[in-house]
Amino acid sequence: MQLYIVQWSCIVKTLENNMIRLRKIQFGKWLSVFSLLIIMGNSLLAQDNRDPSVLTGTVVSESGELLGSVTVRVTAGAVSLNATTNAKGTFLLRNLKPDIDYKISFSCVGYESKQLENVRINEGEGNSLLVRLTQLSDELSNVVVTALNIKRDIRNTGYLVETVKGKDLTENRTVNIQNALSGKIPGVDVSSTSNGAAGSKRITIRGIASLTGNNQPLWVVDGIPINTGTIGNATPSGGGGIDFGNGLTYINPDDIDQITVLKGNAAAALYGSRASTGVILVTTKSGSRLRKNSMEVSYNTGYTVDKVRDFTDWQYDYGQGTEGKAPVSQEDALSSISSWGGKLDGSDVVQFDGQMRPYVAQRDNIENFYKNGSTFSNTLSLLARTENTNFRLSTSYLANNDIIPNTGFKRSGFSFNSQTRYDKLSVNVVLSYTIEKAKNRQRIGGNYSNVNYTLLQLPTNINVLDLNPGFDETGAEIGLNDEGIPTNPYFVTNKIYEEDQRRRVNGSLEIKYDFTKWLYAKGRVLEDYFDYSETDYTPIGVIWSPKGGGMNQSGSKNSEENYEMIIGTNKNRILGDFKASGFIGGNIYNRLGRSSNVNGTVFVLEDINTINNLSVKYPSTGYSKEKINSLFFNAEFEYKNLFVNFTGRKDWFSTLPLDNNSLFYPSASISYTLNSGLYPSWVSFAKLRGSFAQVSGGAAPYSLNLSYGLDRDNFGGIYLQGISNTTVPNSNLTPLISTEYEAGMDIGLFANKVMLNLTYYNRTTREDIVTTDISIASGYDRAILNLGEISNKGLETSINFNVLKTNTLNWDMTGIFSYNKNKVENLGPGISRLQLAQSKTGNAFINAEIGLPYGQIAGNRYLMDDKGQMVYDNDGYPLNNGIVHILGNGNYDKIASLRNSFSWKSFALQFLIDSKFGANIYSEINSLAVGNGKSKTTLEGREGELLVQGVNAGGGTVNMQIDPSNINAYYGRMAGITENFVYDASFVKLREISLGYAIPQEIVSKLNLTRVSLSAVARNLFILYKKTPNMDPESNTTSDNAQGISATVYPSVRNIGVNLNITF
Amino acid sequence: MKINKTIYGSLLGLVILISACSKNFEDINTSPDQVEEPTLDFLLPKIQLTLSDNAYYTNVTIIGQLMYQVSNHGTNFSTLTIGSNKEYHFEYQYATAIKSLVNFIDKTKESEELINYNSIGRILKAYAFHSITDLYGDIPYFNAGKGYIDRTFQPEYDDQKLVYEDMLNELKDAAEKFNPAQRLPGNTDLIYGGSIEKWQKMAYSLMLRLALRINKADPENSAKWISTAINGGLFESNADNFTVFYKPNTYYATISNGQPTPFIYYTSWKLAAPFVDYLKNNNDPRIYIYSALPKTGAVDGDNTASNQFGLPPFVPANEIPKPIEQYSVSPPSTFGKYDAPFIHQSYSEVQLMLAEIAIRELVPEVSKADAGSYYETGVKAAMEQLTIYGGNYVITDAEVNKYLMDNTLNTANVELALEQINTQYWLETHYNFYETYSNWRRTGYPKFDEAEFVIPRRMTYPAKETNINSENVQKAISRQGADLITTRVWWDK
Repeated sequence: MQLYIVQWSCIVKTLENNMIRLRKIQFGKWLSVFSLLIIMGNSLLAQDNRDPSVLTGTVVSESGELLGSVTVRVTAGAVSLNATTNAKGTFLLRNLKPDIDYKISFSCVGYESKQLENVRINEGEGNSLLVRLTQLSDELSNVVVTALNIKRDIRNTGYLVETVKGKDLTENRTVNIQNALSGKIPGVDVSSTSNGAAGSKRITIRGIASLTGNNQPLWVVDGIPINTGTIGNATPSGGGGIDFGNGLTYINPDDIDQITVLKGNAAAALYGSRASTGVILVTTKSGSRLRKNSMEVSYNTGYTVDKVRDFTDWQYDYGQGTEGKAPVSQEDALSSISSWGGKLDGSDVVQFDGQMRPYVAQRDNIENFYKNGSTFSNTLSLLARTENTNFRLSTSYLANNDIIPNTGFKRSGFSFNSQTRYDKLSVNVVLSYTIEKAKNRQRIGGNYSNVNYTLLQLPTNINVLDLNPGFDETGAEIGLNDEGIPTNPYFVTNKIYEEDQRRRVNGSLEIKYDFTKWLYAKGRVLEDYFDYSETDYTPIGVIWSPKGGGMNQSGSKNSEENYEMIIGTNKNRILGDFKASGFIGGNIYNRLGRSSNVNGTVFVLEDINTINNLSVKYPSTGYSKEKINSLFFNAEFEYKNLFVNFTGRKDWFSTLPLDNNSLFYPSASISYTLNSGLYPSWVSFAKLRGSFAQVSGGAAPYSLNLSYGLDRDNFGGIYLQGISNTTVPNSNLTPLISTEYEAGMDIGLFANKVMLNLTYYNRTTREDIVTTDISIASGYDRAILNLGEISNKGLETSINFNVLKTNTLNWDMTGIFSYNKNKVENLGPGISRLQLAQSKTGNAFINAEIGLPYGQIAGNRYLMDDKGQMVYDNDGYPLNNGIVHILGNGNYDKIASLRNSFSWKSFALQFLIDSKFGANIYSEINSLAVGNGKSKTTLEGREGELLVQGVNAGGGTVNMQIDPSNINAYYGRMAGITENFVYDASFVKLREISLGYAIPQEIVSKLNLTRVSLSAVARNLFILYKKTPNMDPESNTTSDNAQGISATVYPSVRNIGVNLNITF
Repeated sequence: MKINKTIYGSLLGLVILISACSKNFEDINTSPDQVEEPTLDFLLPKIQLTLSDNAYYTNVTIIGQLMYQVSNHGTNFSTLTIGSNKEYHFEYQYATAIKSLVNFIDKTKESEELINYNSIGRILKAYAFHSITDLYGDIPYFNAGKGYIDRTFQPEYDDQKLVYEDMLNELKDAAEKFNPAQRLPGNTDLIYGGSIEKWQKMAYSLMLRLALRINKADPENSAKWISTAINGGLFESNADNFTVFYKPNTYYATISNGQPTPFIYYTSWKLAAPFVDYLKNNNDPRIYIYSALPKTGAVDGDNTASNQFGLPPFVPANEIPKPIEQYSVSPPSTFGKYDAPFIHQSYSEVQLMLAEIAIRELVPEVSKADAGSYYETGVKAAMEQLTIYGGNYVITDAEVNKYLMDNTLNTANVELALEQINTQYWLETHYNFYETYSNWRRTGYPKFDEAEFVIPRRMTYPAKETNINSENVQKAISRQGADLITTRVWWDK
């Protein structure tokens, strides 16, 4: 008997050669090198030569546990044999031949794969192996966390599950984690919204699934569903509205281990209605990856600078004034906030404040007004693992200064998670507490108190710095005109005030008890709670407001609770290779929101900006409660390479009519890994998968009946009452239903050097609960209907190519592409379009139109006669045709990105090129700039050379020259013609570049440290391709469904940062 | 076995728990903040307060300027009717008055006890609709305001002719259906305190207005309805006026009058030169109630007649002859305050209409010989009604008589008389500019110089309607003419 001891080192390659790397987007290189000890016993008993030899073996874990379901694959040249270990961890392989060098690989879910090379078999049956496999932390395994916090082998899923590693997110250093997902997963559309660092961002997965409902995915952090409702959004109203963020800023990227995206209904079916638009699962780091009885302290610090980018290219030939003349008096200057004045000749001209200043171009107003923003973030974490328990505790602090003076965001908090196992009982605890404070969030989209609007309207010869500090010695605004619209931007930043605070506590307790080896019960209690308080005021002295200012103060408390109970079986061999497992469970979901608000106008005393100092105050309260009860099951079957999964769920919604408030919906998925004999040798792996699934959904609370409320004012003791609804309620609502089919394949080529996945999906939402804009002549703005139908068909693909690999150098390329074809199928009888939004200018709409993709940009065109000649009015001004045409599409349908990662020794470099195509955007800034004379297109006609040729309404010929003193009116008309300002919003951007450096171990060790790494990151460095003049194509005003309108919003920024990570 | 029992027990418990918990869903889904049955006596006053838009957007900023009564420093005529201000009256009236009235009428239609509430609702509904149709032409009428009741989300636009026919029928029927034996609103009827007699007079006075308005388009029906109105009984004094009083507050409050807001907010809003000049040139004793210089600090501005100057309309900023603060505004104690009453229809207007009916000999009930006295009663009532601003604003009989002496109705020349009558109507309807505008379009008086600025004949439909309700808007356009400000409404053709 001989004993061989084989020392083994398993690096990336081992994993790559296994099929399990499939579908994990793992960029960069593995940081750790794993060493294994293999003990191989080899018996040398002689056997008959004619008898093919037999190999048996046992696979155990490090702790000696016998491992079942381990795949054992023996290969030599083209010959390949497979076996699987039984429940006792043993396997048996026949028909082997002596004197051949075999490769034997072992792979098992949750364990590091192992490969033995040059194994020789002795003749006969005495060949036996004992193999120990090392348990993997989740980060390195092919295990994904899926619905209900259940871990699954990625191979078994009949639908697409994709992950992004925490490391790939943290290097981006963005305040909002959503931004960091851009360009990383096919089918996931991240829209940048120009509402500041802490504003809400938009993510949609596989297109728009609901016509007017929430189309953003459900976020689940460590198993806890998070309320990500946006509090406020920018609106086209006068004040524009403030976007108070959607709460996702609470997530500290440094805490994240990985993000898993469940795109389809099948993946999400077990989360119920709220998952009908996909699920994003965030898993935070845990102590499980440490060795037993060890601990680790890690500190991360990062600093990022945001630099504003000025895309404007205005005319700088003519300055403030009217009729081609510069202002002659202060009064004159105050009445003409536009650039229709004289030629900028350097002469002294009076301005808004009565001062004479040279009449010269001011080209740097954007750079002068917007400051460099910065974000400083720090995280300290402690990880520990004992015999039975592991935990991670972290605390973090982030401070952000936004690009507008005096605005910023701060976040501090801690998070804790632990996993404990005593015999049959395991207990997992998650707890986190975060305080977020924001200051002076800006009103965007409107035209007063909106600094972005003022910057746009500022005549070409006014230097924004001359407006500083924005108020006089009495504190009153120094206005640009009598109406205070636009508002002096420094008055906004120095005097108008906003602050808000969100405190979030979430936690979960999960207790699992294994009755037997195959039977367990699990209970979970999950809570997501936040309170929110907000104060804003506009002091005495503002020009636009009711004289005397105004104030608003509000607070809300929001909680979401889930109680869940599951009884299930672990995977069991039922008969031969046939295995099954499953569970049945129930969930109770409660949501409660309460709010109170006081607002009022006219401060009595100056400089006392409190509610008590208001002369008129109005209190109001809000209350909203809903409940969903659910029962569900999950069943999984496995036969050799075939996996089948069924789920079913029934939800009862409190928001629907009692007699029709529940729906059962099923899902089924299948996956099959093709045997290696079925494809050519250069194909190293192939898997087919398919699924069908449905998800249901309810309505918003109180959508069923008409109700009446008392007015806040009474008329001298006479109470006033009216219908509270501005939306027509609907007492016949039924649950909506979304159905999806998905099919795809995953292929590995050339020893998995190239990994390719392809997925097709087809999802239709029927009986959609739609809140649609209706004719105001009905008495209501909107109605709730139950008749919508919308479909999404799409293709998603990603290809990962390991271009180069040597001992020191690695180059990975990942390309992703997705195409989504959305179509509004039906809107209910008699309704041909839904209006989702109207621009501030009033001329552009975002509509859902039957037969077209969701979110069409609609508006008027020039009035033309039958022969296509322009029709002008008597003054020679163009006319709009008053008909609403479809002018573009507000949502991108093609998204592509290319990522390159290089590593060389301790350096890692990566860059990401991100692009989107197929959308348009209506640009208010370009419309307004034509109206106010800043646009370069308004140069024609200033000196009387503008000739108008066409016909008039009566059909007569118009051939006239526009008097230069009237060109403002001429261009004013042009500004109102929608088709002029709808642009192709396609772009290609250099989204990210990062360079990382891990300080060599010998230096680190000398300092008594474990690891030290440094990185530098730049985001949004260059736009390589765009078609939108004067703006970034990614400038949507809101994060809601009305995509395709850019109002006067924040300019875009470029971020450059550095990051240092030290582990003790 | 024990394990199995535990499992089955738990599963059963789970199912029972989930289904039992679904029983109280109706309570969960009932908002604790709202009620599902309204109180009629709370609904009625709110409806009355919202008849005047509560805000100035369409009425003052557009129509007031077009009627040369107010002027905004820097307004460009060619852009005046572009944008959302022209849409406000349409959108606000449907969303508040029409919606509430349709609901109010629906809630009161079944019960005999509520017949008086129902009649008041129907009269007010006719009032609310006529101001919309006069401004925009063909409008949703028969199916309007029924988003909840009938789930009509995109109501058709109705021919103005049919709208008028129905409004007139409604007024007659509602006036006749009052029943003193049934329940009446008391002080919650902010207009007439539940007086059936006054409501009936109002119904017939409004009928007279509508009947005269369609005189050009449909003279036969016009005459018929004028007679019906006169026989039904019209306003007999200023005590019968259809006036809504307001309380001090800010412009967006339901209980205050939002019309004077521009004068309270902005220094650029002034009375227009043609209006002030007419008052001044004709030594109108009303001038000090209509016009004053802006406040300086807390001190009310000078309201001496000779110091009043109206702002020349549509003149570029650098071409106005005087500094902006030297132009007159609506006085902060009368028209220029948030609690200024809003006169929807007055005894004076009725008398002036009768003067016109007399001079044009439209119906046998009114004799041409009485034209002068109708005119004089109308002018006198217009001056006397200004006491609604308080005891400081009394125009004496002597002042009235002197004015009438200087402005006697020229009964010999019908055209001149019509000009005199309707110029008085123009002065009297100050701030009810919708009415000023309709009457001006109908009569052409007072004459404005339209050489440079041709005054529009209607307002275009809201942009949102052209988008959302486009099919019905297109039908209206094909019936009425292009959706342009130059297109005339049916009664104006």
